[in-house]
Amino acid sequence: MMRRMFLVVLCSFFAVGMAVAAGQKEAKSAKIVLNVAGIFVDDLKPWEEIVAMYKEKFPNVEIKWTNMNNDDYQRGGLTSLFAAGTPPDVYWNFGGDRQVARYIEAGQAMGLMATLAAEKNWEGNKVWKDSFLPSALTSGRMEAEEKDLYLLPIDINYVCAWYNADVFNKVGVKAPTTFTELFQICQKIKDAGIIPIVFGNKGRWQGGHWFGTMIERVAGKKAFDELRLTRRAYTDPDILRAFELLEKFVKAGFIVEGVNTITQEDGWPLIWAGKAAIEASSGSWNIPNWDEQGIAYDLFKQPKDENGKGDWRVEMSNKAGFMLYPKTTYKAEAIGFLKAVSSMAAEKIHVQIRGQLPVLLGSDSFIVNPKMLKFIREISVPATDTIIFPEDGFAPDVDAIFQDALEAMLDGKPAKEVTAAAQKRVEALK
Amino acid sequence: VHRKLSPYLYVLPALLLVGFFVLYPVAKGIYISLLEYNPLTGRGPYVGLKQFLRLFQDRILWIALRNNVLYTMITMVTEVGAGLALAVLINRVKTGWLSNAYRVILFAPRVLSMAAVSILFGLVFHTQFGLLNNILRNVGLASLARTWLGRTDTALLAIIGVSFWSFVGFSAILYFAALQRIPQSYYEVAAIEGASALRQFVQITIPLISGMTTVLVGLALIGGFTEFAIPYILTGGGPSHSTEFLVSWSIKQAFEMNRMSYGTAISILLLIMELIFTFAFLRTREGKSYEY
Repeated sequence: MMRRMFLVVLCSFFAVGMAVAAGQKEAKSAKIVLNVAGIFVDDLKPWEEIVAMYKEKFPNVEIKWTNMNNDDYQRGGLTSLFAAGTPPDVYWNFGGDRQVARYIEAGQAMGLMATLAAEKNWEGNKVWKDSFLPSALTSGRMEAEEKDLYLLPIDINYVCAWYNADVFNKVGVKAPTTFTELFQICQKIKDAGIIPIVFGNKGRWQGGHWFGTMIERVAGKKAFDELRLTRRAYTDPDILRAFELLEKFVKAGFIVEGVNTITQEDGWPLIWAGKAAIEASSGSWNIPNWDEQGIAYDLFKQPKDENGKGDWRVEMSNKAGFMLYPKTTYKAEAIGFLKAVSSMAAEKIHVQIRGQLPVLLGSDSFIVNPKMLKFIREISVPATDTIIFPEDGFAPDVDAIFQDALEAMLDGKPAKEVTAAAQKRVEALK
Repeated sequence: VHRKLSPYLYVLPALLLVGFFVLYPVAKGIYISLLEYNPLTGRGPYVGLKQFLRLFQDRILWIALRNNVLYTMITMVTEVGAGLALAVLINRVKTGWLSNAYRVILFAPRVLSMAAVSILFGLVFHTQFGLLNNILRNVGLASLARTWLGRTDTALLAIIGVSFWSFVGFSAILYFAALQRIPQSYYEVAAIEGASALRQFVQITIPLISGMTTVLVGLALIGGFTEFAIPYILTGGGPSHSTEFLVSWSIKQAFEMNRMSYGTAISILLLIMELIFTFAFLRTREGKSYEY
């Protein structure tokens, strides 16, 4: 009897143990890990708020971030994830030929337009596609004729010039509207013992933002785009004139010494401390950084060239957002994530905490920051057209030539010599 | 059988590690360099030696090669030479704690990561706030203050300076250890025979530390050709590629320009060069070690 009871108890324990183990296994298998790659090394907190909101609808999903420094991410970091056979389910990317196009061509990007048109947004109150500003929903690939959308826009970035308002007041100058005026105020600033223009070209992008706009103002958007596609020569008279305009600023000693060896972050303290006046080109995403300093600062549109072929309403811009890995095992969860990050609640975080310009319709009321309002009213809304950031929009080979030419110019080389050398390299590419 | 097999079993773990972490990547690298490989798909068409033929047309590759050669030669001579001089000086310090202090100070830079050292020197060379320019300005040599990392004529020298600061102490400590091993009696006999200090140094010290010289020159040779962190962090290869090195150019090609196969071909070129230099150097040193 005792023996039988012992056996029954033993079997019961065994059965209970098996059931518990099976239950645990089931619970474990229900837990999903969604791999998300991005550039939010120092600013993950706002994203964590969005993830918390996402987890309310997807409690079984754990978001695993792989974040890298922006430069590392764009220049190899993201590619490495794919090359290593560990593609993320969702990944941050930037519009343009350098980034988005590669992933589309390699079949590593999923077209999103059909889903956007068929499904409701995160809030469930309208078709997902209709949540966005129409201008935000372009492919993100500059040369693409395709109708699809591969990069869900989260950030739209515009750039303009920034300045220390106290320095301007001290020197007695006002924000310029033309390059001639800019040259004149730079002279006054220099005479006051202050560095007129600062930017950091070590990462080979910030100088391109300024000079790219200069090319547009002098030679026009068509010329800029043709240069990007190697259909316009560096030695073209209009392009050369843009180089000569830059040469004038370099020769006058208006640009910070060692501009090719400093980063944007190296340059800021000079302006914040009043040792320099103008940051030649910087984006709306830096508003929180500048606000933190508690200094008086302001922005101005990139000047126009009085004799130029450009249009003052054309602005340099690009988008950034998330792309979807087409072979993801967790498509529904990944799309849910995209909906969450493009929800109205997330938009408020993007605008108010991350300092981004809005991409959703009806989100204007989120903008409380006066500098952000200025960006909207004076730069992004009046913009009739855009030119893309060279480091994103130029093919890598072409960008290398462009950045090398710019670096040489900033190093004091003459415009004619630089453009001739650049054109020689373009010919070799062809 | 057990006796015959056991030596191989002992080295098997090391062989497996070397095979997996060294030989396999090299073989895969050679394979990739023969393709037009797309890392995003893991595939690419076979193109034969096309990537290697491109090497000859790449202007910047030749700048990088020249920089590597210059950097290697200068750092090798200065770091090994100054290391020896410092070691001889410390060897003369008879106060124990002082000798220890010198050794700790000299070795300290070697334990810092090259990334940290490069960032630190980025601040030293900063045009506006940098320590170097501030010192020059404060001692009345303001005319010498310049954009050290932003000029094609000074950027490479600045990088060599950082390498010197980082490695000279290491050379000194290794030479110091070698000097300590030389029996004092050799010098005593030479002194009795009337040999001058210089002659003792040339005929006793130099030959007896030649083993260490081989090690240090070998390390400098390999380190010089694989240098990456200092130029990449300090200048990013600029200005105008004047501080481009083979490794940084290979990485830029592979990851920034999206030419994985060409970047790999540069790495293979580097590997072949290193093998040739190392074997040639070791051949010149054969039979030149001294037992004592």
